[in-house]
Amino acid sequence: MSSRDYLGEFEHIVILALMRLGDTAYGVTVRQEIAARTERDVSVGAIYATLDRLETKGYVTSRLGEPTAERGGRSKRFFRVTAKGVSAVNRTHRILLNMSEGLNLVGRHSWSHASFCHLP
Amino acid sequence: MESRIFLPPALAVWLVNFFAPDKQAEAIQGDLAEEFSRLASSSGLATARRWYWRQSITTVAHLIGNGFCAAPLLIAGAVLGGCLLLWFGGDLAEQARYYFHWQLYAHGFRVFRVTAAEVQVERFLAIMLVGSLVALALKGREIVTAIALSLVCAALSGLAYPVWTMMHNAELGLPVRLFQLESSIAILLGAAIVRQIRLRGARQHRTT
Repeated sequence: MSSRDYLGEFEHIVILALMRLGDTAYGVTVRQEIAARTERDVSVGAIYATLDRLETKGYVTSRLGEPTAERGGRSKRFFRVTAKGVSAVNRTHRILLNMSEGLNLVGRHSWSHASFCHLP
Repeated sequence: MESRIFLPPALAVWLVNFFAPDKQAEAIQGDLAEEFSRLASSSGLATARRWYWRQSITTVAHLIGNGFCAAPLLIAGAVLGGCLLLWFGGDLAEQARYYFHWQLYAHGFRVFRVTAAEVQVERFLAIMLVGSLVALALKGREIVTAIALSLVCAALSGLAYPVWTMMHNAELGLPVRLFQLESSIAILLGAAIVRQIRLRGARQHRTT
């Protein structure tokens, strides 16, 4: 594990969205999933810039789908999280948990150790 | 029921295509087109067009930012190369120009006179060539590299200005100061031409 082998905040959110969406993860659905769960209206460019970075790091892979008429004959690019990406999410969760342990967080989020540790 | 086909603003489509890396261009354009159609059907064409423009501008900004961050060393190398070309190539171009004009003069074109405007045009074309060469060297990152090089040129011009005013004890007017940005404009123009030619080539390749 390198010292820079961790996820930034938005990278973390995007990878979690990909994991939630499974085989249907492409730009539009990722954007909608993030908007629905975080109430953040992110741009298509932000999603693709992050996905490009994650792909370079080996955390996600992509494949082209079939072109469709509603997209002006353009293909979708489907994304999938790799085992390395899942490990990175797990590691980032562990770091967050360790850092927040013992702190009296306002609102007491439903964070629990158990919810993080089902990942490899 | 017949579904209507809505077309996004052509200029915005071109803008995204111009800045998007080849690998991502199709997916980004497709995603934008898909959401644009949906929004145009539900909220009207004007709203959808506004949304498309907003998305295009933020997308371009992200693509430029990501372009810099993805390969900083490569871009820094290209910028350094571009600066060296501008520095040493400028002298070579100057010598070539004098040689060319001397040859014309020697072969009887005695009416030929070099005006300041012609020198300026030749200089602009030479810098455009440097912009094109830098863009040719970095396929897929043409515009990002050209932006970096033009920013460096603009910064150097900005630094040179106070030195010039101190040495000559004179102030330059705003039009002249803006004119100093010609190098940056020439670099961007040269790279834009290369990018446009490559996009056209890629489009033709896809259709065949």
